[in-house]
Formats: sequence, structure tokens, C-alpha cells
Amino acid sequence: MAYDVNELFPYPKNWVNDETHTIATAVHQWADKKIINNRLEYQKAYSELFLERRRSHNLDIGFQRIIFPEEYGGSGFNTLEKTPQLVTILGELSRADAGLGFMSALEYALSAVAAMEPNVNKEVCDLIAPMLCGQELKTVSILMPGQGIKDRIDPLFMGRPISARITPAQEGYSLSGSGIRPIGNGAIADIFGVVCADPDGRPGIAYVAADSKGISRGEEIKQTGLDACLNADISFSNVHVPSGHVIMNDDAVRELYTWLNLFLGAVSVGACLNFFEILRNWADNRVIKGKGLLKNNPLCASVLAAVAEEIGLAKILVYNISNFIGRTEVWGGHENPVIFMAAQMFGKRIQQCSLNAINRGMELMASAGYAKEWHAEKHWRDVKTIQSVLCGVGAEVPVQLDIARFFYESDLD
Amino acid sequence: MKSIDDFSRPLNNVSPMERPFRKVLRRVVDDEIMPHRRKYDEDWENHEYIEPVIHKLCVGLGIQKALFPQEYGGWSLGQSDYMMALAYCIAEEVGRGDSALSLSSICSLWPVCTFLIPPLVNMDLARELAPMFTGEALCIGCQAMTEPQGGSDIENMDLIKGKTITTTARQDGDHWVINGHKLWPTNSGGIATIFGVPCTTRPGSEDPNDFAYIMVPADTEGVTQSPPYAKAGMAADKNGDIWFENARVPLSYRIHGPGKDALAFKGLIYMGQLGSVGFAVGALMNVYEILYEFASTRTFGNRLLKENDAIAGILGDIAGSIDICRVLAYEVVRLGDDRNKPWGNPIYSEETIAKSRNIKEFICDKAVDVCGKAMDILGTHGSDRAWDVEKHWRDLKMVQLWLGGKQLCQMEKARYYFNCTTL
Repeated sequence: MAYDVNELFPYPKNWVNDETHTIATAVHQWADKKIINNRLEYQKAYSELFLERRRSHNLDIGFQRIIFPEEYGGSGFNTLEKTPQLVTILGELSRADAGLGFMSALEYALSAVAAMEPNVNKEVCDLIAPMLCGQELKTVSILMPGQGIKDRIDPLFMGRPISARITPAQEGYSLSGSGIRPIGNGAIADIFGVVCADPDGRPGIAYVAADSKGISRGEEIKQTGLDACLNADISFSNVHVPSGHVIMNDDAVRELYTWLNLFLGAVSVGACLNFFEILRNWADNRVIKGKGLLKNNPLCASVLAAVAEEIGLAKILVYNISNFIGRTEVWGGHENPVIFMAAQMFGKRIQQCSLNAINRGMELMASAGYAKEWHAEKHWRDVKTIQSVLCGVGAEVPVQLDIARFFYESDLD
Repeated sequence: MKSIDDFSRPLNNVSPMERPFRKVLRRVVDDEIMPHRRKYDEDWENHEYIEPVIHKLCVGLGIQKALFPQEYGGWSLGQSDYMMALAYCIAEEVGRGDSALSLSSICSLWPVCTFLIPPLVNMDLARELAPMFTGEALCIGCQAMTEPQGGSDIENMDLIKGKTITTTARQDGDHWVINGHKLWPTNSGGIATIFGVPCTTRPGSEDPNDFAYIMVPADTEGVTQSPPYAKAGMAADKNGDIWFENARVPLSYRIHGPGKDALAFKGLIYMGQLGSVGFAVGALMNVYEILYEFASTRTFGNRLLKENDAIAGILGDIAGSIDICRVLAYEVVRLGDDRNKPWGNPIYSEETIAKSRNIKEFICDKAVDVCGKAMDILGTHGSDRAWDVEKHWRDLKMVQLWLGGKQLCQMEKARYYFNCTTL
């Protein structure tokens, strides 16, 4: 029986307007036509078709420029109340291929810090908008604080070592740091967003064009999932960064974490929705114990229920983060620490729920769960990759400490 | 400094042969598998790097002849009270380097377990097939079990009793004529030398006497293998379709005959659990080694990861889980190695199968959790193939799902412990 996967999973519809539904339907149809209904062909020529599909939605449809103000050639989705729209677009893209969603998520997260009203940063927008609102496909990579190295003392952002440093230099800063691991796209980025620290240890974000002098990339990293989002360690050797291209406050770093949790949460949920479609098809057609359909066996039905439960919860949580961010009249802006804490806390849960859903569902698919032909395993690898990179280091501990700081005023630094 | 050898195991279950054999295996793993294993994912189709290592393990170290009687050139391991301990040792030690290599090497012997482990021994067939397994050429055995229509139903012998098997064996003079379609077995995908084929002499029958297990050399006319499937991991294990179209083999290639074939086949389920726990614990021990290095060289809050109380808590749980899994794995060993003791049970007994399935399910669930958590500890390096944890994560998920998967394990346990009669 035909069904609409988006309608099956309840979410607060009053937070999503008609325009969003229209966009969602269009992207949904695009995803079905261009990718989901031609999955084998898409898999066979993955690199080539990924690029083509990415070009199609980023440039032809215009999602690459969507977040920028109209005066920069963007679509004007740079107001916080548009956040649910961005979430919806990312979810639909990721339903087709989490790699497509992931690339857009990094772009939106980095751009949002500079382009979202009421804190539009003109100088950063002047740097990145011409690239992202132009007619060429551009890729964004983000280098977050993460893991330090033994015997090295790093400046910290809420316990997380910051490997990149900026020092004042003529008309700006000099950026340095060696072998830093981005959360993705390092090998192919046109723009880097680098969380860095000044000589006083204050954190900030440097926006750097990838063709700047002094940037070198390590070898391409082979990774579990997100196959097209080629990553590489990045080194900065006295890279000149104009002072206007650095947002020098820790609120900006918190905001970047918030956007990443929201947008990457949307990506994982989107991947899960397609996994649900695959699993539902499986349960509709496979027989167990030589007789009944899988979905009609009580044990299998209980596993199927657990999968739906996890996805439903993850989807609700994503929309909740977008509500925190989007309804400034209720929650204030990013200055309110509850938003960062909620994004971290819910973001962690969204990734856990997403991975649990796929893990449980794969149990019922047995070998089809890990056969590339069925595509379930790709969603599984992609979501796990997102979950791990979001951790930074130390599994859920950094986020747990953020939560403890908020709720208990724990002194953990 | 602690090492993987500090994880617990009951020393009274350890084979006297184990110490030297483990040492040799570890050297092969460290020198010939670890440095190359990152190339294996891309080698899934051609086995350019993988095949020489399988050859080294199976022929060079003699794994492929281990079960055959000494008089036919083997080690008579099937007669040993430490057979399962040694099989586990190989699974664990090679699994530390690559669980699929371990799987491929050990599963090569899976079909011949049906007639080389007392009390179900067929010496005539052993003599006939020994030259294939004891020579210098690589002989890959493949236990061709799963069928398209019912997935792993065939493994659910207690309930289904073989009635859904569609692969048929028809006697024609002094030959069996096999027809049917199998898919997914380890060591298919074009590399098998000989198949063990569960089939039926009377389709739709629930009578165990109609269940047949017949050895079919891969070069028999009428046998066709597909190329390997693309999978999430386990590159050293090729899987594909096998078609039997009027494939004729001598009558003597049926392993025992009516009734006993079904028992021997049930024994294979135990062997599958034994191998699975070995692959899983071996991989977990390597995850421990990787985590040890990572947590001792990387920092959070300018302290080594392992010195941060909260992260240490996770590391402690991981090490504890690995230790418990290893102890449990040796309980699976004991169940098998006690098969000839007064207090033991045959490997095809309901108790042995239910308890080994129980432990396999527990260990695999834990293993997938541990690997996932380890990836998260590595954070941005967790999904990096250079650190190998993610490889184990992908591989162990497959170990968790095979052999009927989690739900079949749950059913078998419920039937055994609660005497369920209608499940």
C-alpha cells in the first residue's frame, strides 16, 4: 500500500509552514526520481553521479545559496524562523544520500554563524557568499576542537583541545596548526571553517579560502561512510587571515556546535527514513518460519516497532532543536545557554536513536542488511560516521560534561 | 604493561598444542595480515592480497588438513578432546587480524566436520576426500546452506525440520543427482573447491530421514557459481549464488545416510557458533590494543584520554566486556570439547546448540556495542580506516547477523529454557 513516510512519523506540524511542505514535496520527488528509484545505477557510477546530483540540487535548484541574504544573491533563508525549512530540505536530501545531506549540512552550519539574522557578519559574508551563491559547486569543511596529543598543552573550548592557533599579524591574523582532522570534506573543500584560539586561549572561528597560501592537505582518508565527502588532515602554515574573517568569541563556537547538531541530526533522520522504507518493503515481502510475513510475526513486529520508535523520537528531537533556535521570542537567541545545551543533549540522542534504529532493523534483514545491493548498509555506515565525528573524541563524554555544566554548574575545566 | 594475553580464560580448557600454535599464528597475523589488511576492502572481488594469506593459513600452517585422520595425511584433530579449543584459538587469533580471513580459513573445514567428528564419522568418505584437503593445493570448502525462499529457515531445524528445503537429491543408479539454488554461503562467490549441500530426498517432508547432506565438488558438471556479492565488510569472505543443475556425484558422497545426516547438520550449527565467538573475541582484543594506543596518546582537557575519569569509565566497561566475552567463549569451547565426556553432550544436542547460540548472541551484541563505542572514543578518527576499529565494527555486525540472526537465537533459547512447544 502506498504511504508517505513523512506523514507516518508524527512531528509538530504547526512548526512547519506550507512553504516547507511544498519544498519538502519537491525534494522528495527529486530524490525518488534521481536517486532512490535508480539506486543500482547510482551505486555503480557513484562518484560521477553523486557529483551530478549534487550539482543538480545545489546549483540548478539552488540549495547552495539558499541560506544567504538576497542582497548576496542568496534565497533569503537567513532568518531563524526558517530553520525548520532547512531541516526539512536536509532530511529529504539525506533520504536519498546522506553524503549529499552531510555536505549541505556543513555548508549551512558554517554559513549560518555568519549569515543568520540578527547577527549577519558582513565581512565573512563578503568572503563566502560570492563563492556559495555563484554558479560553481563549492564545498565547505569544518575543523572543530577535538583531540589533543600527549605532552602538548592546548587551549580548550569546554575541555576540547583546540589545535589551530591564530596570532595577530599585519592587517589580520596568522593561522597555524598541523595535521588537523576536519569533520569532513577536508580533501575537497573550497572554504574552511576553523575553530582556533588566540594567544590568550580565546576561541573563535576563522573563515579561510582553501586556496590561501600556506594551506596543505594530507592524504585522502578512507572512511567508514560518507564515501563522497572526501576527507584529509589539514595543515596551516602562517596562513594570512584578514581580521574580518575571524569571529572571535566562544558564543560563535557554541553556535557552530548548535547548528551542526541540528543539521547533522536532520541528515541522520533523513537517512533513517529511507532505511525505514527499505525495511518496510522487506517486512512486507519476506516470509518467516516457512509461512507468515515477517511483519505479522510478533517477535519481528516488536523489532519493527522498536525501529519506528527510534526514528520517530529522533525526528521529534530534530524539530525540537529547530524550535529552540527558530522561536527567538520564546528562547531568545544563541546567547541563551539552554540552546547550546539542548542542541548537544538532543543531538547526541538523535544520533543514538538513528543508529539504534538501523542496527535493530538490520537484524531482521540478515545478510540483506549488509549486502550493498539493499542499500541499508550504506545508511548504517553513513550515520555511524556522522555520530563518531560529532563526538570529536571520548565518545559521549564531552557532551555529558556540557550537560553537567548546565544542569549542575559542575566545575570541569 | 597489560596486553591481550591478560584477558581471562579457563586454563583447564586450553589445548596443550595451543601455546606453540598460538605463537605461530600471532606471528603470521602480526607480520602478514596486520600490515596489509587495509587493502582487503578493495580486494573483495579479486583476492589478490587475500588469497595468498588464506593459502598460508590453510596449506602452510595445515589448517585445511587438521580434521582428517593421520593415516590419510591429516592431524586427526576430530578425535581430540581439545578440538574445539584449538579451533577457537585459530578463530580468535586470526580474527584479531581479520575476522573474514579467519572465517574463510576455518569455514573451509565446516562441511567436513559433518563426517570427521565422532561419533558421526565416515572413514570411507574421509579417505576419498583426504587427497583434496591434505595436499599442497588450496582446497576451499563451502557449506552451502541458505536458500532463496526462506533465508535462514533451513537453520531452524527444530521447528521447520527441513520441510522448506527445495534443493533436491535424487538417486540415479550409483549417483546422486542434485538440483537447486543456494546463496550467501561463506567461501562461495567462485572460490569453493567443494560444497557441502544440505538437501532433501523428498521435498516438503518433515521426516529427518529425508534430509540429506551431500558433498559436491565445485568442478562437477552442472555446478555454477556467481561472482561475489558486494558487502559492507568481510572482504576475505566471498559470498555468492550456487546453482546445481543435474549435478551428479557418487552415492558415497552422502555423508552418512537417513537420520544421521540431519544430526550431523545440526552439529554444524554449534560449530558455527564456536567460530563466531572466536572471530568476535579476536576482533575485540584488537580493538582493545588500538584503544590502548589511542587513549594513551590523545588528550581531552589536556589529560590523556585514559586518565580522564569519565572516559576511563567507558574504557573500563569495554575491557570488562571483552574479558567476560572471552570467558563465555571458552564456555562454548567446553560445551564442544566435553562431547565425549560422561557429563557432556553431542554437539548436535539441543542443550549444546541452545547454550552456544545464547552465548554467541550475547557476545556479538556486546562486540557490536564495544566497537561502536570505541569508534566514538576515537571521534573524528573513529571512521578512519587507518585505525581499523571501524573495520571490526563492520565485520562484527555481519557476525551478529549471520546464522539465522538474533531472532532465531531468541527462539532457540526460549524453546530450550521455557519448553515452548508452539513457537
